[in-house]
Amino acid sequence: DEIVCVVKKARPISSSLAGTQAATIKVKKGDVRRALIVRTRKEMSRPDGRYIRFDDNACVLLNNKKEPLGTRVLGVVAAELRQKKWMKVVSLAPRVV
Amino acid sequence: MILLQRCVQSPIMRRLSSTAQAKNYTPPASVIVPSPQYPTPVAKKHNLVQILSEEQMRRRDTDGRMHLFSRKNPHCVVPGSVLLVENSTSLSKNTTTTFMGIVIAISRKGIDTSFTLRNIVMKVGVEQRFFLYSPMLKTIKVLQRSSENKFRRAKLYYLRDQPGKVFQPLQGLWKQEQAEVAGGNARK
Repeated sequence: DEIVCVVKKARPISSSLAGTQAATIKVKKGDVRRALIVRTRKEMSRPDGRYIRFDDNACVLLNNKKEPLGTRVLGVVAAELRQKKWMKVVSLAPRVV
Repeated sequence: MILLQRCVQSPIMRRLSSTAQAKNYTPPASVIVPSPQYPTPVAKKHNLVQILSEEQMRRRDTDGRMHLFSRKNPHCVVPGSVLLVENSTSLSKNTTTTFMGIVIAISRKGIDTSFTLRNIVMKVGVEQRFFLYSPMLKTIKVLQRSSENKFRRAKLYYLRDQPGKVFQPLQGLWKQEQAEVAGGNARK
């Protein structure tokens, strides 16, 4: 599912990139962005009755065109994304469960 | 169609059972009769639902999975054993997904019997709950049966808070299983 979220913690942008164009793409604390939820601690049900639960909540940040902001996705990702047609994220993910 | 024998026979049933017509009844072509017909159960006052669910369980018990989880089986699956489950993702295609993990909970509810497997995948704990009698569940392989003293609880939810030491041997088991499958395929 796609959500709108606020960035609470972000890695500080190094001073060398501070003024350049790259800095505008980087994520800062306090940014309001769209994100796609990939893991939830609450169990999700699959159509055949299976339930799946992860140990944490995780999301992937998206830009306004609904494409992932980053070039990589870390960790496991729920297979629900394939069902909901987020193919780009699914292809970037190292493991889909 | 299930033909029930009531303990207290109603007048209609008494009349039908006496005639040869009732015994040699062939249903019309429009009625689909499910293939394994079990012997007529005796429906006492209240256990009709139980009878129906037991029949459904027997119908769906392909490849002996009911035996794997039944309490009467001394070698049944016990919370703490490692299972490998193959699930078919869609009915039309032949694609399957496999999931391996430690059984942390078995919920026995007749036809809704389910078990939860937990594993740590890429540093994230994942739990999946599978329903035993689901037609999407293709195979269940017991990779390791836990000894009685290892996990002394029925529900191992405390494993969620523990560090993942218990899950470390799972990787080795997975590779062993893959090697066995590859060996089997090579032999073919």
